[in-house]
Amino acid sequence: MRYILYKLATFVATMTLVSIIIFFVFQLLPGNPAHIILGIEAEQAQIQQLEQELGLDKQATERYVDWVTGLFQADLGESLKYQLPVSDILVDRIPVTFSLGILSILLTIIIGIPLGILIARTKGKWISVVLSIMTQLGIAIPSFWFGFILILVFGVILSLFPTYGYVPWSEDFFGALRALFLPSLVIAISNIAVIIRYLRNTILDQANMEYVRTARCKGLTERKIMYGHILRNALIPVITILGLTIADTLGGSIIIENVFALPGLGNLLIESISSRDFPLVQSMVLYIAVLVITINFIVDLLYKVIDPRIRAKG
Amino acid sequence: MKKSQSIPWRIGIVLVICLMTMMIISFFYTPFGPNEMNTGSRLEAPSFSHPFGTDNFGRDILSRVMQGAQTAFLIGTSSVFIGLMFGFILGASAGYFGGWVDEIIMRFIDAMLAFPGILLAIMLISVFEPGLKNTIIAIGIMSVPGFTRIIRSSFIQYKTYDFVKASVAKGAGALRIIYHHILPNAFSPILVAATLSFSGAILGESGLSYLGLGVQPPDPSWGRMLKEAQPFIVTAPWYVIIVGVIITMMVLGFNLLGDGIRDKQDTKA
Amino acid sequence: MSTPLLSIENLDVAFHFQDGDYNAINHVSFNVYPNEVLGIVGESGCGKSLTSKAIMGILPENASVKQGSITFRETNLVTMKEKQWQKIRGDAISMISQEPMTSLNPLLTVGKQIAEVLKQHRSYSKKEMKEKTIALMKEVGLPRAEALYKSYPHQLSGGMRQRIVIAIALIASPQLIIADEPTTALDVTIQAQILDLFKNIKNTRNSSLIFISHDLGVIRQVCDRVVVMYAGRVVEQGKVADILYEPKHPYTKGLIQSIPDHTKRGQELYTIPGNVPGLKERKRGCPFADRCAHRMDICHTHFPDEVYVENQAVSCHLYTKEEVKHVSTIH
Repeated sequence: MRYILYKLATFVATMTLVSIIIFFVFQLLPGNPAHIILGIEAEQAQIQQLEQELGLDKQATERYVDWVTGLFQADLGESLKYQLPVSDILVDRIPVTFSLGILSILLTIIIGIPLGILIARTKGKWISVVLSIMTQLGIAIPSFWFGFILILVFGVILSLFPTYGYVPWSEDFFGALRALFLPSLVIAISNIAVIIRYLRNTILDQANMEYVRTARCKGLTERKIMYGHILRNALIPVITILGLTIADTLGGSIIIENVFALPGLGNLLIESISSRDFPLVQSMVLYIAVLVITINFIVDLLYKVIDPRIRAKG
Repeated sequence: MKKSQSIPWRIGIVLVICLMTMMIISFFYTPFGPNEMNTGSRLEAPSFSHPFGTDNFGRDILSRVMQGAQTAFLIGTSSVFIGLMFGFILGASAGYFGGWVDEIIMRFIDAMLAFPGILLAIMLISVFEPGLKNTIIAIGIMSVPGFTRIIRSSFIQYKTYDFVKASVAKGAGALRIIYHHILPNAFSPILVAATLSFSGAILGESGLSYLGLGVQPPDPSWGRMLKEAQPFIVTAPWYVIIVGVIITMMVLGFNLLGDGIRDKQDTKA
Repeated sequence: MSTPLLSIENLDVAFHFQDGDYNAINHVSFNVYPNEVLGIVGESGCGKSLTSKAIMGILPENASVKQGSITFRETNLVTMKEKQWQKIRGDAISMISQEPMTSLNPLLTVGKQIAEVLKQHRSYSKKEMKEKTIALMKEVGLPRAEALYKSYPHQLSGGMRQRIVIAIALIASPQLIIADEPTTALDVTIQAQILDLFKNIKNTRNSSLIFISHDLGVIRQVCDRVVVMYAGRVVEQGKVADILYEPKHPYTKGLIQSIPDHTKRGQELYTIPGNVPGLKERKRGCPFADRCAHRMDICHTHFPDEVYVENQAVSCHLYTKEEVKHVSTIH
């Protein structure tokens, strides 16, 4: 119980700090935001009106409180460009990024874990060497460039996948899957490499543990030792890495949505930066950060459910 | 066993030295002017006079890649320097003083880590404007949490060692202890972090520049070149491929170097 | 005596290093008879654990049997394939390791970890397996076995965990159980309890036991016969009573002198001067020569043959020479 309370307290503290950081970074906008937004030719009356809308006539702390109260009432402010509540705009974009994230994490697990086991089991053989070179490359390659290459090979040369755009799931399930497959693979690639390397290390660490010898002395086959004993223990630390992976996936989708022209949050973020739609940028940055903190919080709790040692301590 | 382990490390050294040599040469010589346009030879495939081909303005890609190496090394070293400086101040205070100082600093670091990937950099650059200087600052700030954690844990670890306790008992000042006892021991984990953070900076810059938020023209940068190359991926695939391979080589080189240093340090311990 | 259950003959086990192979076990021969408890004693680094690993077929990756045989029920284990080993391990031969804190899987309930052996080697129903497991848990002295069945290792004390480890080794009623320093990592009071448990096992079960320890005091309490090992060699073997009261080998004498004993209270405990030579420092001749008070020139060049002196077998030049009588009067 104390563990949960501590985690909850840090969760709230981190949330608060993040909102403060975001708010004050946007306060640092050089010059008068109303000026920047409206351009140099704007008339004084227009500027004053916008200032009032943005609450610039109030103190910074007061504006922060207004902003946060607004957030609790699901009011993320209003986009300058679209003249719509930010929440309305996000509602359209979130499903795209969400699908991309889920698919990418699934790919990370489906590809990363079996290959991690394979690389550990073939230690010292050529398969393991080849895999380890591939993981090094997977980490070093700029993901969006890998996206270009996949577009070139699978989209243009082989015409297997569409190279850009998005179809909603409700319209065409397989169409959506095809549209999202390449981008999610691109986002997943470095995470896959990280999971493979990490799982390899945890498996090899666990394989030297005393309990593995006990299992071997029971006459279990290597397969049973691996799947019944080593893997469970080796996967627990991998859960933390998967938690970090989810954050990286969100970060990765910012760039990759722009490579594949997918109308998600990342795409909107870059679009609104170039149109200087700061209320929208501010809300989106906060939205993504809150997602990351929440996911990490859930992963922490999940850890507790899975590992009986920590379960007992609470 | 030992020999095969040092092969990746050697590859890393070779890659880094090659790219560094390329950068140094570019100060004195490039085959063509990096910004010299030639409308007569647009998007030419690699040839004897243009080993990497030409871009959509007829500029020599090799010359631009060489010039871009300067930007890459500049961004890498300066952002590592910024990250290391702030990371040291924060990490050392957190680790040395512990208690509430530690708690506050680490909460702050956690908050920074809530910005996934290059989001923090994107946020900073969207507020200030894009350009070489702000790219360096943003990427440097992004690497602060990593350095802080490593330096903090070195400080916590060595603080409990007897030889450090002994000099505290003798009345040695904090700075003296840090300089004589903690720094020499923390050096190699910090070096590993610096190498890996260098390659992170290269990837970060390429991402930011691809989004148009990084280095602005006419400063040549590998990330920008990829952005410019993307529309011609079908007509001039070598442009995209060559620049991507160069970035990968750079990142791979520093990653292997960092892993190698870490392995050496592990076997020593 | 009857035919041995396990017979080790001329066993050499070597570690492979870049600069060559180094024998960690040299020409080791001994037998284990049905229903007896054989102790193996020696300081750490003498090859006791390695010998037991060779019997279980779980030598470390960089070690292998160079020559000799390990015959169990008329089969040479050394030439067996991994598949055949797996049939024997846990079922006919089992092992209790020295680390009760780490030798259980932290993520599985202890009941499951005991029952797993039956699942592997027997075709019982789930219910039968659970019943047998709980019955055995009671037998090894675990109270409230039904409740403990579902607990995780970290919830148990060191002594209880060691009882679980012992239960894992007993559950399939193997003919041979190897206990590698089973009490070393435990508190003194718990040690005594676990030793009592071993005495019980000896009396109630039809198994042979190899009991490895660096402590002759512990060996004395549970073993029938004892093998004394030094730096990968057997230097003396025989009945516990004979060896304890009339040790022949200088090393054995040293070990006996270093047993803590109430008659020696207040005195500083004796220790044999020097250390066991490292794997790469071993020379020709008797490995104990450098630490031996009775060393002769021949000790540095030739390892002595095993000879029978009274009831025990000894490998020492003091007894291979004619002047045996003369030497023994020195003491």
